[in-house]
Amino acid sequence: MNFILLFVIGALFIILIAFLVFSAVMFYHIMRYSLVGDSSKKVYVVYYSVGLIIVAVALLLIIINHLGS
Amino acid sequence: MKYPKYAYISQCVFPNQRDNEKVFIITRRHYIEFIKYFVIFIFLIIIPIVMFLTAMIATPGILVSIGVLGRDFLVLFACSYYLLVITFFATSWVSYYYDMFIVTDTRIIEISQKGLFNRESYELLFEQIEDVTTRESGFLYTALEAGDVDIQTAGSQRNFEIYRIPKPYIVSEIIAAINNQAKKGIPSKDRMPKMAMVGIIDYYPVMSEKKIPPILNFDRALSQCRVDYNKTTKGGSLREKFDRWWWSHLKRDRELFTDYNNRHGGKDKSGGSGS
Repeated sequence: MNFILLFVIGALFIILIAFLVFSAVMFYHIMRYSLVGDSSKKVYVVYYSVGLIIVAVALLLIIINHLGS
Repeated sequence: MKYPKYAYISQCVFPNQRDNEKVFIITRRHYIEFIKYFVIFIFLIIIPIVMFLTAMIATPGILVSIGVLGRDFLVLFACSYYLLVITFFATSWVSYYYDMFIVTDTRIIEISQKGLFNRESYELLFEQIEDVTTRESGFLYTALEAGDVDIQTAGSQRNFEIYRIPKPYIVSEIIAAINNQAKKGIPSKDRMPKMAMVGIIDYYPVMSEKKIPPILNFDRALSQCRVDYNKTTKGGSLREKFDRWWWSHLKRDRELFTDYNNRHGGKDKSGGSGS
């Protein structure tokens, strides 16, 4: 059971890394091309936060799933 | 007359802006162009939830029957799916938001962003413009004041065709006014459309009044940009530089808002500062 949990968390970690890489690309764009006062930074913060919340919720559900079983 | 807040804060810089270059127009495609992506985004969010609920209602014990590993993979799949969906949305937004059209006292710049990795920029000096035409077609675009502006150029220079921008008639009038002044040999620093509305910044009109419109108070904004730039490049660790760079942008926006509201807010509320 622990092995499965580790495997699933490892998979989730890979997904998280992929998301972080892409969000770094987004950050690069915003750093280079945003105008002062435009909405880029706010949208980036929302995108990044929502992504992290999704991963956190997934991690929580996985842990609950294994605690319940 | 109320100055738009956005016009005040967006006077600083776009990439490659020259010293003392006044910005009259910064506009993007009309938001109707982005709505199709937004609708797809909403569908992509809702459809899996509906499918999941339908499966739960049709076969109530399905979550138990798939076992621990099955539930784990379901969560992993949902997590990957929703990350892809928000990434799709963010990419669409970058394509829409960074597709820009800028008019200054010297030139017209069209920045075309296609996806994350394809960006093109075209520039046209006012002296090269021959003719400006506007076109609004279709019920929706007419109702929402969206249309195309075609700028014909002299010689072998590429023509500019700007699609689906808001308030195309005003944009073309401003371009034509500056173009006439350029043809008369008026230097760029003295060029100013002789009309009530001298610019548009993201849907908001920039008005010409006795007071200098905020968007044109460019010297102060530029010096502020330089101060902030120096702050971000001097001393400290990489993390400190990053923090200063990131927060100075947000802080400056807030300060400019506050400053603007302090100076003009009261007059605006009491019936405007007109004429």
